[in-house]
Amino acid sequence: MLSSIAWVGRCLSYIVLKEVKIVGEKINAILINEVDDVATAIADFQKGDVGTFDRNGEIIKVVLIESVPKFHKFAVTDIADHEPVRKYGEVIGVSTQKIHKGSHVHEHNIASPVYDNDVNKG
Amino acid sequence: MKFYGYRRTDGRIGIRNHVLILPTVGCASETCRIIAGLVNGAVSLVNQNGCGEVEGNRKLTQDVLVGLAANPNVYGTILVGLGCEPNCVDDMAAIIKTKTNKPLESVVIQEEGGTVNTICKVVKLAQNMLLGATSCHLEEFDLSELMLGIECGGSDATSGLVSNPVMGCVSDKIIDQGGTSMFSETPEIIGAEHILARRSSTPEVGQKILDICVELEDNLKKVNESLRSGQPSPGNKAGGITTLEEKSLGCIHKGGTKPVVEVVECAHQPSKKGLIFMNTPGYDLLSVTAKVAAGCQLIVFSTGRGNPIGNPIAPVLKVTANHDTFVKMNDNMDMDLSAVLDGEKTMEEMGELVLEEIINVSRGKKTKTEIHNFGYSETVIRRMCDYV
Repeated sequence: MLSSIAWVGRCLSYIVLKEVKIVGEKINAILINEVDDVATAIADFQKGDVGTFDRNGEIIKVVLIESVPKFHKFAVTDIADHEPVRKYGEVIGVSTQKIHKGSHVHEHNIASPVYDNDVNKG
Repeated sequence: MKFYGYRRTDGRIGIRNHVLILPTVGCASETCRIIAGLVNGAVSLVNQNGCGEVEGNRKLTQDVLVGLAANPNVYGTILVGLGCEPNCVDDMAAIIKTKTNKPLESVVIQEEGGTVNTICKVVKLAQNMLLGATSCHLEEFDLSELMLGIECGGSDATSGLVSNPVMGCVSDKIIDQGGTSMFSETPEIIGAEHILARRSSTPEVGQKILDICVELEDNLKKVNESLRSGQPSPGNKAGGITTLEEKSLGCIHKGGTKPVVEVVECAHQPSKKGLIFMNTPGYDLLSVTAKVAAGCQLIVFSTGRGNPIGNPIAPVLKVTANHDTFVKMNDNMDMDLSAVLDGEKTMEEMGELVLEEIINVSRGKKTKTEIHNFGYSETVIRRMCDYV
């Protein structure tokens, strides 16, 4: 049985192609799976910039409320504290605070979903 | 589609034609390096092991050294030992002969009476062996004879978005033609192991994938360590990867969409063709060495932030979808895959281009790791108290 993640990998280029060449929208972010809570910036964003990506053929725009470096993630939805955060259609971490839509998502606001407090290094 | 290679006396197909000057112990490593520098077509490597190790570690050392000698890119091997080490040339020669009937010679530094005498003797042996090697000629072979090793290192977010999925396309194409593709690095499937396990050819293979992940985490817990204290690396994080799970979900794309047919231990040759997972640490130097020891003729190395590593026996083809990295580290990077990120090419089209480049490399085109004659010789062998 093929996993959804492999399928997503195969479809990614199609998504990019469709947006750039057919829809004509300026795409500057990638949402890998429709259930994902985060998109990946493919340009450097400043506060107030608009992240534009495709979700199932629909162009979605999210206003960045802080700067996000190229290839980093931003929230495409509000995420409550202690909630699973999804990318690739899978859980990549758990929020450690409330995350507002348009925020930079990284170590400061999500952590590995594995409870790993018996050692506290690095 | 065909690739080009040299048929060895043991029937396997190599895409390079090296004479390997192989130190059985660390004390012989520098002597071997000097010899390889004197003979055009000879290669050597740094072996830090072979002495001062318990039996379990000696076995791990032998698995890798024997595997490297048996790799089909090697025409023949000259073992160089010191003379007092536990991993002696006679033991090594006996094990190598169980794996391959390719040309094999042994020289012991203490018996020859020092470095200079050893160099003289091995240079003469190597020149004769090279006359044999250079009498071989390239022939066409089906991709079913190809074993590709797929590595990722220095990852950033572009690795999981583009370069690893493109490697997955290449892997699928080779397997569709009856060939073999091997990926590894157990720490870097943790968080995504359930996906690979579901995609295994049998429940036993799937269970094995889950078991090696539990084993790795348990071993670290025994010494009060956590995998996540070293993963993701600082560079991964700077490149936009936040958690180990996110890194792993990107990493497993390089295995494509085919079922995993076998899980092999570090440096072991698989018994099946198709998609193979090797249980190795995530340390790139080690996992590249192990895959070459298992018989991979070529390594494709997917990176985001860039990486210079090579291998003395197998070409290492570096690909990245981070255009800035391709430009900035151009002397280390072979292919720029960023056209996929820009929407100018599909994954499939880029996978075709990478496969074409693999064929070109088999025909003799040099990778960046080979073109400078820098003599990349990185070799790392796992230990019982291991790298992670």
